[in-house]
Amino acid sequence: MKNRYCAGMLTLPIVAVGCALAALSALAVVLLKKPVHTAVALLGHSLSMAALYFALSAQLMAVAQMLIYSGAIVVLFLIVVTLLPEGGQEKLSGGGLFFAVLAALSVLAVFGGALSAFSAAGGELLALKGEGPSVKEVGRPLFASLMVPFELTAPLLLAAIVAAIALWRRQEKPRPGGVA
Amino acid sequence: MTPELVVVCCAFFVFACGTLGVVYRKNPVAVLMSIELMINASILLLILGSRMHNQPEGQAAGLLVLVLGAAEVVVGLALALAVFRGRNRVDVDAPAEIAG
Repeated sequence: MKNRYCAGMLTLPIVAVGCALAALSALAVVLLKKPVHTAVALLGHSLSMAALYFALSAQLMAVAQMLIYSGAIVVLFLIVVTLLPEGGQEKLSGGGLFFAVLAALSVLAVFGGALSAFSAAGGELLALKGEGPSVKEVGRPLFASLMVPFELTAPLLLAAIVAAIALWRRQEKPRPGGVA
Repeated sequence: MTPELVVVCCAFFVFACGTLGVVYRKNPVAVLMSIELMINASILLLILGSRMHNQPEGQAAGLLVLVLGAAEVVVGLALALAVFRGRNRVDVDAPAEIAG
């Protein structure tokens, strides 16, 4: 069936708007001081990423991003913020910002160097053609070449749940007459 | 500037923002959010690569990374609550019991 929602070619205006929103909201996540504002910025970032995935014809990833990140993880962050002392407010220093900017610039320099080395070696980013893999085609490797990592996600999630409960119960005070 | 290059540059910038947050912020929740930014940037590159070479494996791997990120957040937030709930101030540098 033809994909009616995503054109095969990637158009610059759509990508530029999606990327600008993603970059601005990422900056807001890092620079906004109140944890609730940060969580809302993360929600915006997650939604703009989902829009970019749609533009790249990755519909399954876009829906998963909206359900898992925007739906579950941001809500989890908000709940934890309300449970932290002083609502998670922190005291930030100017010296820390200097080293943080230095670290971010070093990361950008490494990536920029890698990209320029890639171009200098004659490599080029291929233009996107066609409609991209369908949901059926994306699902196939999960039951073939990526079967082991896919199956291992189940025990991983179970271990994460058990770890979260164990960490929480360790600091819970025993109730008089109760089991815990 | 091609759209593909814009997406690559955006992923680099978002990853650098994540690095900035991990080094700068002192709130464990904000540090975890910054790590999420880095994971999102890597997923974006995986999807772009998958689409460029028309290989569905890249998107499938991106899906697995998404699940990995969710598991990491669950454990990280539980740890943050266990360490900081009884304290007056939230600062990842403060607790002596997690110092290396």
